[in-house]
Amino acid sequence: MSLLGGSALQRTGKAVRSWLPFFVAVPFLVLIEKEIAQNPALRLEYAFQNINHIGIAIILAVSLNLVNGLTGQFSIGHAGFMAVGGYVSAVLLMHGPPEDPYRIFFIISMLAGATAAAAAGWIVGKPSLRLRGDYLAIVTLGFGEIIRVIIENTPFFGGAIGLSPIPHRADFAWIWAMVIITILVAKRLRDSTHGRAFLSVREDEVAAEAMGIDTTGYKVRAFVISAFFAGVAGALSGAFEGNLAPQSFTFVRSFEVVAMVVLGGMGSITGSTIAAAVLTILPEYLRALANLRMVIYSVALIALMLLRPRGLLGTREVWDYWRKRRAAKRERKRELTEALIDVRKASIRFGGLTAVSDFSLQVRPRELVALIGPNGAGKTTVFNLLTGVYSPSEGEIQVLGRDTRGLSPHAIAHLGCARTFQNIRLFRELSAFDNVRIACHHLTHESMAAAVRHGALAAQEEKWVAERSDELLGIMGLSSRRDELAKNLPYGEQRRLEIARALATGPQVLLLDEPAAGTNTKEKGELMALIRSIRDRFGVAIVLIEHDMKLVMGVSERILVLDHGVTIAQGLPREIQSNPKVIEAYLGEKYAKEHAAQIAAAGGPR
Amino acid sequence: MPEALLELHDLDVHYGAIHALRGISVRVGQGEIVSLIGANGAGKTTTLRAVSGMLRPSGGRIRYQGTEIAGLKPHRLVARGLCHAPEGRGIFPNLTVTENLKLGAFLRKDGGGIAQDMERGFTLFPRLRERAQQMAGTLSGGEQQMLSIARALMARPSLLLLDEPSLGLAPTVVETIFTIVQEINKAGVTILLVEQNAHLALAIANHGYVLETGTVVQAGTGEELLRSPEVRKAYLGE
Amino acid sequence: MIDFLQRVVDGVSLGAIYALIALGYTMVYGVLQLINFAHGDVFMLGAMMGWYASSVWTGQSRNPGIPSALAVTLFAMVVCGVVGLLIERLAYRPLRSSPRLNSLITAIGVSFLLEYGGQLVFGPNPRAFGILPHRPASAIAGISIGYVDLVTIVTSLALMFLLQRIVFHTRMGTAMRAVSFNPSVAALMGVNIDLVISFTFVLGSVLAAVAGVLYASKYPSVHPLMGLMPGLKAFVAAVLGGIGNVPGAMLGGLLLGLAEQLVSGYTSSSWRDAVAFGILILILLVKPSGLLGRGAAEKV
Repeated sequence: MSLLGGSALQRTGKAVRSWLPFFVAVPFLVLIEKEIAQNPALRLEYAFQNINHIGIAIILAVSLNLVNGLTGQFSIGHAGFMAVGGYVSAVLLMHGPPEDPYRIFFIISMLAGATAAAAAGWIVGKPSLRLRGDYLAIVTLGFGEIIRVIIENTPFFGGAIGLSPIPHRADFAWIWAMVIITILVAKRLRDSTHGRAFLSVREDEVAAEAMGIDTTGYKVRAFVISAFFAGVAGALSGAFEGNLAPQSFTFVRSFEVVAMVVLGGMGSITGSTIAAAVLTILPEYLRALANLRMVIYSVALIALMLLRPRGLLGTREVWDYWRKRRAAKRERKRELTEALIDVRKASIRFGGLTAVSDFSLQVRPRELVALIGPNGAGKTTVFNLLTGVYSPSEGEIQVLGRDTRGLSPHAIAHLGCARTFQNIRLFRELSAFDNVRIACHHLTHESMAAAVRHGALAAQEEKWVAERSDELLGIMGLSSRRDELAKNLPYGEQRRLEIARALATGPQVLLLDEPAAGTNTKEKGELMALIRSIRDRFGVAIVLIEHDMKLVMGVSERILVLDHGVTIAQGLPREIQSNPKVIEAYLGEKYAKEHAAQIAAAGGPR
Repeated sequence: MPEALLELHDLDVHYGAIHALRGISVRVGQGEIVSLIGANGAGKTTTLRAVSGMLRPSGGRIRYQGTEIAGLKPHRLVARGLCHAPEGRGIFPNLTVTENLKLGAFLRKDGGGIAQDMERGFTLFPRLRERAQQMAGTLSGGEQQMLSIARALMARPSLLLLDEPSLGLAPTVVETIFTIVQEINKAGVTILLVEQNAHLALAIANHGYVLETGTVVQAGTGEELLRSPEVRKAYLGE
Repeated sequence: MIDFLQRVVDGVSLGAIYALIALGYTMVYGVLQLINFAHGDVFMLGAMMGWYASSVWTGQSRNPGIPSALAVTLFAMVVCGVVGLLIERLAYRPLRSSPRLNSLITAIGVSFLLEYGGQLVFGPNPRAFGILPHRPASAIAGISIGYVDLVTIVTSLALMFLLQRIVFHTRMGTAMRAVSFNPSVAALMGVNIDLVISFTFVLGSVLAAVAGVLYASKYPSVHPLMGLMPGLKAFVAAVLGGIGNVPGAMLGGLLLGLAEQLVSGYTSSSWRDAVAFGILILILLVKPSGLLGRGAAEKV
């Protein structure tokens, strides 16, 4: 009895409920197709042809939105993936059984096409996604064109003439069923912790990596998923139209889909859907104007960009108007007594310049260490070595017991070493709440499939992430700013938010890069107290880069002084204050005179 | 009281929806050093940018040499002797020190005068002379700041806007720079200085203004502000 | 061997045209960080204007003389210069402070506008082009160099030389380079940013106009969509050389022209288009900053 009862039934029930929209829609779609679309008496063939074109356009736009809108990568080769999916599926259909009443073979061929497109997405994405902005756009354009040229020159794919006749296996119901699936998958992903990971890549890759997010991995994933659905669109197109020709998959087609995503608002699934419909229908209605219609289309596109560049909906969604709050808890602790950070004789050279030489540092749990030195001394370079932004030319670096040479920043963040940035790298267009939630991502375990399925684990983890983030915001005094966009917060609160975000990754050691830059004396005093309370409350070790001597002396237990990449002194604060080499290189004679009394008393900070 | 070289009246600046400057009024007399101090985000850099034309004010007036200049583009103001050494130095890392300096004299046509001024710049900043043919990107922070100031001087400004010259520099270097700023002022250049280091900024200033979230909360001579209890508490760490 | 050298000559001739177009892309990218997708269509406009002037006005397309060829080219240059200016002023300048993506989309919109507008005005059918006098081919060491190829190579080299002088030895050129390094700081040096950007557009468009006339002289069929492929390939050439780098665009153009002629000569000409895209992908994966470009690192 227990096999069928209790949680198994509950989980199945939940899964069914989450796919309810789909199951409800299918019978309606079939009904519409049978009674209206294919009813010759109603003479609606032309209208339904347009409706079906709109459906395919929606699948293309929503899938491209995943890459261009959500993840912020500029891809203009979508038509190429559509072609791959379309051609693979069409070839299978043309060599398949002549009758396919339950469309089993069609499903197989569509999945085969989509998988081939996804594979193409992987092949294109993996090497290209480390390129920035414009370059990525060009590469995807190039790949799209190469795919088309290959198809044009391959007789098996029909060459320049194309493939036909392709059995007519898809019509209104199939197309719109897939539209619903595409939108559901996109929405589920977007609302999950994976969706936030995508957003973080769009907002600030460097910060996202530092928060434990595998940015390249996520870009590739977005690419592959989007290519998969482009393949679906291609397969549907072929099976609906009955023919495929390479001329339909030029970069012009890719541009048109990009235009839909931009018009609708980057990142907005609702927007992409509406825009896809509008931009598909518009040329049809203007058909009467013959050549003038494309001119109007171009002018409209330009006007849109000039007047409403954020698109119709920006990043908003229809369902953003329904929001719920949840609560749960989970803790994760690892106690270590050995050195959290153990660097031995690390050096790094850039070309001919040795930025850091022979650097050694051990940081024990709960220690407060400061790194000081003149500008250009190599302090931030040391942080970059510790967090994996650079790899050392010589020496060893161990973070939390692991050799980190060659590890990427997100892996090191995952180990338990978090950082803030000198110039504040918050995810500016996201709320304070989202900034912190993103940093919790690497601690979650749910897969993307689970997120899409609305599985139990995914729901639980969402609750946990939300509560943990609220708690951290509360500790940093930012609860009232929860839903404010990070860019709108005053400077001091932005700094605190960045610290809250770093803490959200659950670190054992926290690296703070000039946390007092740009603050006045009152704020500095608050910062000193905050740093100490963070150490006490979270049990983290803190390594601090700072220029403000008062802060450094007031907070540190141990100080390292760097000059031109070399450690010139290390010790207790009062030892450093009176060290002649340090005074000469950095503090300056004036400081020494002003603090002569303090140095003489050798009292040091409390 | 010397004649006003620069006057800001009720200046308003918006960054989109954010009201960064709310009706500030500042007066810089001919030959003076005037310092704007305040915490980050108070609007100090925004003020300089509005004056030099990098930002368009949304309200208020800016008078320079007696004429209205609000909204004019930067290149027009440089031609009238208003130069800005921006926050973060703004030097061209892929050009040599000499090439950077020459760019400062972009609008000038007198070859002889330019050579003379470059010589004067090297005398003022001997470290730059040593590195004249080096790529500016390889200079240290302090040297880049010197280059930024020397470059602004190449345009023979009447008014020099200095944005956070001490940012990220070690205390010894900062002392040097501020000494040089005073020398430049004695040679006849009026200076409007924006600084986080309130102590030094007020010590060399004839007049000072304290900015907080886009408004002037206190004004006075340098000495008055140095002695004021509020300023001492908030910015001088007493 | 003769065969090979013949192809080399053809490649240089074609490459010179790519280089002229590529220069426009690279200069605009240098000052604005914008890929001006409409540039290929300005090239098309140059060819169309050349055709228009020579056949409709002078009616001399049968056997024209050098003076009329020059006049017609000048006309094309003026029209394209003005069009380039207008595009910058109306479509790109308002978006200078918006995210780059918006400008890219607008550029695509302008490109469509020129193409479909061209079809509306001139009709989609190709027209016959002829503005250069018919002269016999020269023969050097057994290789035949067509008159058109000779004119192309000589003209292009002259123009590229002129451009080098402008960019590296004039005040405007210095201003262009300063703006490409850092526009807001350049403004503080007294550089009139708007003027520099407009100048850059006009310069690029004028070069594209000449390229259009030369190209149409060699492949004498002009139509409103003729700019698509050469435009895209010239863009690849600019990236190959290092986008934003002026000598790079020249080098890239030449190399691409050579590669295309050699590959299509020794394999089949239907793979010609793939050469450009293959090179594009290769360079972006191996050295994205291009042959002569410098990489830009992000400061952490």
